[in-house]
Amino acid sequence: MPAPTEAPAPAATAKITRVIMANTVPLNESNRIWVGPWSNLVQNDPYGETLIENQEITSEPIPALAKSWEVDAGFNTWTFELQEGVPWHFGYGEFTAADVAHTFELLVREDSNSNFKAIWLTATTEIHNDYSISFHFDKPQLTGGRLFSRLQGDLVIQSKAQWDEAGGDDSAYDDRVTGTGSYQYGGRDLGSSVWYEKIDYDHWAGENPDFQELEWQWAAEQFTRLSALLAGEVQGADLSREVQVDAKARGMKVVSSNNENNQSYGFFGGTYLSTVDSNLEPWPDGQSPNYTGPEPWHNPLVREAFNVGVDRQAIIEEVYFGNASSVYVPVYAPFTEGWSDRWVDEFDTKYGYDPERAVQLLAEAGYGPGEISIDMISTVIPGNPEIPQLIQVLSTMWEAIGVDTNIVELEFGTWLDTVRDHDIHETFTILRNTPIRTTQEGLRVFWVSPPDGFLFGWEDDVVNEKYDCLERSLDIEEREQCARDAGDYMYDDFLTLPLFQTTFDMTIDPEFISGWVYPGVGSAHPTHVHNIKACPVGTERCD
Amino acid sequence: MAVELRPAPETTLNKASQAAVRALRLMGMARRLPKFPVFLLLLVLVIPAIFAEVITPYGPLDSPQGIRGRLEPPVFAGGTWQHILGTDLTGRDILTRIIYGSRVSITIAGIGIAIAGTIGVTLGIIAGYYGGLVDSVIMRLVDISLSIPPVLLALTLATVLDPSFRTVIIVVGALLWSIYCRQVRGDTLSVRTQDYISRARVSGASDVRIMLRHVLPNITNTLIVLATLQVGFVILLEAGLSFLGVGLSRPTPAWGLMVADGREVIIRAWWVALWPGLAIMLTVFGFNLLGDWLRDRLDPRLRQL
Amino acid sequence: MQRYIAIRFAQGLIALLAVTIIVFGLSRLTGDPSTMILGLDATAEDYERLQQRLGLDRPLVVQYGVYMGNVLQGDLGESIKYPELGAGGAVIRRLPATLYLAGVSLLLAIGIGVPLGVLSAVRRDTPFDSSSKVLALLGQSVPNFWMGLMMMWIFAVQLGWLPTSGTGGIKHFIMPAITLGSFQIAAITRLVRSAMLETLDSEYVKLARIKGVSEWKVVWKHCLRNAALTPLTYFGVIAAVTLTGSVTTETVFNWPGTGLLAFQSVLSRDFELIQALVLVFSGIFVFSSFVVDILYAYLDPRIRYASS
Repeated sequence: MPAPTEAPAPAATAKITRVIMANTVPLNESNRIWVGPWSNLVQNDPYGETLIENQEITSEPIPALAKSWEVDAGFNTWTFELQEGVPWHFGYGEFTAADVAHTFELLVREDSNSNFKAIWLTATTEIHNDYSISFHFDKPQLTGGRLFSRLQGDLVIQSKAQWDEAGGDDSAYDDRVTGTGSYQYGGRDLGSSVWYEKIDYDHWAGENPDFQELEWQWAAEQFTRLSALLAGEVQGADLSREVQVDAKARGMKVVSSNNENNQSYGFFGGTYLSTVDSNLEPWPDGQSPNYTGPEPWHNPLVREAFNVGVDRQAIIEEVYFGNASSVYVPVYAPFTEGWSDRWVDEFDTKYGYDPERAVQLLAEAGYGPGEISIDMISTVIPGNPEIPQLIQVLSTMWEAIGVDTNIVELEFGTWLDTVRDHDIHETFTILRNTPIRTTQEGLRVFWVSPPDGFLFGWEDDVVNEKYDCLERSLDIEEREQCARDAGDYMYDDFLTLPLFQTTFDMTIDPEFISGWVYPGVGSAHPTHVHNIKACPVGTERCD
Repeated sequence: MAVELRPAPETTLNKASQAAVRALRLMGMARRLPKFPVFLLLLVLVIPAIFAEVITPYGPLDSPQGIRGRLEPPVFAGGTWQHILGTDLTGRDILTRIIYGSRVSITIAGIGIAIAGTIGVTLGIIAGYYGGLVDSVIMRLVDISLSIPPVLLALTLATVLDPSFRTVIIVVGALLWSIYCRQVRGDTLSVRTQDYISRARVSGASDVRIMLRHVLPNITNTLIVLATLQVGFVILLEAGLSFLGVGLSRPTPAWGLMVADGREVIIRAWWVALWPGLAIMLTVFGFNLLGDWLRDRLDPRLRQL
Repeated sequence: MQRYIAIRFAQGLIALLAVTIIVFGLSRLTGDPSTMILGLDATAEDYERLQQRLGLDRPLVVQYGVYMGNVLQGDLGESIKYPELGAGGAVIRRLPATLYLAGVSLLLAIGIGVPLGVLSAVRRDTPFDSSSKVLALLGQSVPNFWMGLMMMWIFAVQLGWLPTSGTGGIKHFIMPAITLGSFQIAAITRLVRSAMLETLDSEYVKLARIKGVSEWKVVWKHCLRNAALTPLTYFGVIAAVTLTGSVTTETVFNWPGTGLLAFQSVLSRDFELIQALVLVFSGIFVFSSFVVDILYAYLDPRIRYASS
């Protein structure tokens, strides 16, 4: 947010009224924020705003609809002081604390699919006055800065006035949903697109988009998006790195998020049962874990061999076209709790490509060529188009060190089901973490046992205990230590196959767009649409 | 016993001579087969499928230069003789994969049509031969099967079963059996009233024997034509399903999958999607020509789309 | 005749009922939509809550009963993708795009296929006949997704003559309609040719010729009118092939119709939407073959006696 004293710069004269971006297809097309997971928010972002915004360069939490906020010592109560005089589009009055409470109510509805419903259900709201509201949580909430922002939250504030006008009917927002952003909702063409119009008055925070209208066009096929961009039908497209090359060769420009927000890493499936005898929680569905006995991956030498058998540098250069960096320990990044520089320093010696050593390590562990046989699961995860290719490349590299691999293609949902059933032993899978979660959340989602966990990456006592520590402790130093211990454990014992960390990219046409600054907080979609800058009339290209 | 045994050599001899005559007739027909489609199919499908290991030094999953050797162009577009048609996204030799892909296509089409044919022919003969309630029930099943949109059935089935050989073959079977059933039933109906069938029945031949010995041989021509014409359809179906990501699974060298893999890089590396697409087209074209020719010779009444 | 219509109608209804059972079973087997809806941050609790809400924890028979009860009241269920419209509403909203495209491609196929078929029959065994046959067979040999991609590359990206994808004006129809129609052009050419050959041989044509009716009139009026009946019987199959082709064609060209919707709903496990799609499509199939049968029986009395 610019300081209020700064007058907004006049918008550049754009060559076109409507700027169109070709995107991947969201799970559903709807204005109802409670129906979909938070990856759907791509369609609510342009008109809706959150309490906390993310700084466009650093992605740090900064004030938005909340002027300021504070949290009590026990991290149980988050209190927000709200902006005054923020108008709703289409004359629905001004934004107040009642709207915040109303949005919260939407997210805890019975039929809500909010990603963070489990957290929201432990909360209650308390309105102090029109411009002050508190959220009380049962458990300490350290990550409010993310939960209430776009970075991980889905609390995109909706109007209570519009809701009430429709008599509280579910369809209240369907026709023309109101919002507070610098774009207002325009309309929708089901199956094709949704568009927004710039508001015809000054935005309360001074956002001043260059383009009068903005349209998201949905296109499932990447080649279709590329073609549309090259043919000049759209001015921006979500393209994989493979295809960006073609677009660049034809004069297009790639803009990247200012922060890497997408990590990928491989799981040696079934290793979650590494300590079969430990007292794990019972499986949530009462099923047996289908465990079939110790496997090669329980031997750290084998895991090390798989790691040094991968030429990460070649993959970065050939598959990512140099546009990716290495993950050192899954879930961890320099800005997360527990990060250690040692992981970077030792990475080349410990994880560097050395096929001969890989063969040797396998031999040491007692496995000759062809004696280890694994299934590699290939899924298409929206936002990570490289995964099927990555799987094929890894398969060739592991074949080269004498491992017998078999690629199995699974539809994403089917694969998730097998994970939930603890049925991925003897398989290798690639997972992604976007936007990069906090260490505590990352451990929960990717590592720990049920019922808290989801993907059960390595549910043994060590990891579970470190997670418990993070869940319990409010002491910064203790937390840092627990997080670091978990990371060290994963790193030194080669628990996984760390892969690559990438930015979120959009490919744009420099004849119409000069640039776009966004921090990289969405889940496989861009944010900060008011920052799409026009290439002004009179300038041929803005490279 | 002895009495019964005596005619046996004669019958065997008879059978043998009949078989020989039939074989000669087939060979004669084979010699008369149209040159172009046969040549096309031999070149694109049969020879590669049989001699894959001899023709190409690589395996279908090898990437000889590793990941660094990916997307090399064909020899006439700046590439090398090592990879005549270029390499794909993971550095595998495209010609090699097309050659091995012919086996995949033959297997799918062969097994799929055999299964659909067996089920369809069996039910069709039974329905046509017995008529009445049996016929009604079987024909209602055919109606049902024909009223499900084929591609939706295929998509749903393929998602239930995960992409694999088995899935594609089940989809093919589920889609095609009703076509055979309907055709065979009609033919059986018209054969049933013929004199020689009545004569066989009077002489005490069992129903099964009549169906196998007297009805089936009379509809073989139709079946051959139908099956030939459907090979093309099955190959296209498999390619389409693989393209949508619900057919065969990577890294199987299936032509449809290869097109799917290459579609995104058409601009920079057109060869990845072009060659396998051509292979599909030529094979299907060959079978369509052949089927067309066979139909004109064997069963001119048969119409198909 | 009435009896025949009644029997055919009942048969159609039975087929539809069986379709609902098959599809219901299949779509339940495709797994559970919960994981798709919830995403990775969900907990086991979220998961169970959603299962309960969707009724997925109840026995299959009960789920089917509830489903059929609603269908009979015209409610085809909810949709994950289009929560506002519901499954039935979503299909209805997306159906016109598919019907337009299918209609245009059929017109194209008829416009090209009929003259080509007639001329091939008239000039039987000439180079024209054989080349039109080869052309027709080629049209049936090209995988349509591949053809679509190649056309998009050449005509939209390289030459810039046509829009790449989506809907808009007449130009948007050209490539998808050709892609979808390529198979039908061949089919219609072939059917018309063989039907024409038969009628050209018939007695009354010979009679007309003897009477001195001009050859042009014999071919295009008398023969074609009779020959046109044959392709009509294949209308059901042609419709089926068109709808089949619509999934890949719509996916490639991002055409916002039901083909694209079907593909996406299978991937997102939108059960009730899949069921609604299959039901609507089966309904169209059953209805069109019903109409064709009645029409045919009306034109050719032998059929109605044979079948009833």
